[in-house]
Amino acid sequence: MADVASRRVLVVDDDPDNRRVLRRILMAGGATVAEAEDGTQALATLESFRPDLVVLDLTMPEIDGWETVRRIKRIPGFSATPIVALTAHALAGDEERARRAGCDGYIAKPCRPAELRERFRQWLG
Amino acid sequence: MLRDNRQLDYRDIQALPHTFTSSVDPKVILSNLIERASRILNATRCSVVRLDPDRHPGRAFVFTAADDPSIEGYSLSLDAYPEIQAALTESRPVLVRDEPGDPIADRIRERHRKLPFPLSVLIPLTYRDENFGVLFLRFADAQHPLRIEEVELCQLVAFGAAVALHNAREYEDLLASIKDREHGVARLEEAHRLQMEMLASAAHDIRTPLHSILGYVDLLAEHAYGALAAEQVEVLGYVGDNAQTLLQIVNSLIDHARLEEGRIPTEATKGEVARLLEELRIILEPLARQRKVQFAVRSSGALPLIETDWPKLKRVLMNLLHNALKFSAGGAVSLEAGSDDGHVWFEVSDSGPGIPAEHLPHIFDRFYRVNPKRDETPGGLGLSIVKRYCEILGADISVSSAPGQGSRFRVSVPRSWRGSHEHDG
Repeated sequence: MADVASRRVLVVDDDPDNRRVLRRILMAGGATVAEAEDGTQALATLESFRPDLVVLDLTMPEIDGWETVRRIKRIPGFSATPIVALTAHALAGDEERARRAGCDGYIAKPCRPAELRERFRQWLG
Repeated sequence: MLRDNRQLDYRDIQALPHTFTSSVDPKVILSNLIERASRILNATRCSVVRLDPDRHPGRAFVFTAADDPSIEGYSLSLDAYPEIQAALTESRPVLVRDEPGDPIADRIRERHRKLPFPLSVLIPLTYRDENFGVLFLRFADAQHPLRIEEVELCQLVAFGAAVALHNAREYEDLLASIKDREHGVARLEEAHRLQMEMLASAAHDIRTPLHSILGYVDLLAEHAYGALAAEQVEVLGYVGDNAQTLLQIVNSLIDHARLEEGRIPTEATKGEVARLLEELRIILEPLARQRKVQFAVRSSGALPLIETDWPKLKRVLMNLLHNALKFSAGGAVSLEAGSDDGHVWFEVSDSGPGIPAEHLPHIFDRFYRVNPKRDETPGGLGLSIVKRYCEILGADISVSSAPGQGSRFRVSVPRSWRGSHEHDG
């Protein structure tokens, strides 16, 4: 996964299995990965980790994914950081809503390495 | 019963049909009856005593016109009113005159004297052996002239009122039974909706761990956890294949539940067809490899930007392709897309066993299976979901197939579609 090589990716998902899979896929491509299990953690990690890309589950407890996206986009210095939404339901309209909330892209679970590779190519150029 | 030569009022006769049809409200029917009959016979006072033998045997209830409320609602015992019973049992008008020799007057003289009505006419309200009550006309003048034609006309008016009362009750019963049924239907629908909600929720719970399984399988197969022997990779391929099929089944159950719940939110967004083709290729290539199927994705000419509900379109093509791959082990499957006037078309072709002509008209039916032993999806939901999603998307779907010659499904999607409406499935 040459495209994520030496890039910093923050994975935000409340499900540890999902985080582990995503971490492995990204690390296999040479990325540096940090994990956050909810929106609050994600916001706290942001300054210190300074990710090139945020991958985040939209359906989380506490501050949900939508709200997290809106907050990240308001933080100076991170408004341009691409955020990729992740969701299990792929409901019609989720993509549109994710974009309106400020997401730059959208992935429906399951995260298959081949598909992720293709999508990351678009966001990280 | 003699009287002057006054002619019957033509207007009373003309108004007769109206008494049958004027209303389904018993109060209106009875008020009209009282008004007409009083006028025809020029009665001093007129009321109706109504019967309710099922709930109140042996009793009658007085109904008076709105301008005469003195005894409205008064309940009386039929035993004390032999004249009412006489009218009912004889089914004809009864005349009661307070003079010696009148058999009824003899029995009710005491009561008659208390009220200044030396003359009464009672006309039964009867239709089809059912007594709705008695029209009760009273006269202050013992010599009040009554003509037989006029009494007969009153009888007709009373008969009309009885028919109208009968119809009113039938109407009430019908309304009640419709309401009952509507209530029952609403309860069933609610129960069904809850079942579908549970189904969708259970399927969601199954899907989450499946996602993890697929992720790990892919990682293992890519040697992310260390190099694997060829045979191990092959076995992982089977695991991944089955997990993918299971995911397809779970997705179909969720789609089915949503369609059955009748709440399908839709949203149109603009997007590139080429992107969708690429996604489908990437998702399905591992399955094709696993089944040793030659899988080709082609576009015929440049593909336009279109506006549609992408997740649904993707599901339509996923279901078609998944079926095609399932039935074409060792053969070939292709997905081709192109555009013509106002539409983008997709063709999914396979080299599978084909569908016999007698099955073709039914393959989009829910739970239909061409070959019950071979089909892997639950109750054959895949194609019925395809068809219903196509309807929602405003897309046309057609199929051509013959045994031994494979199948070709063609989906034609409008380039522009605004389906933000709720679809009832």
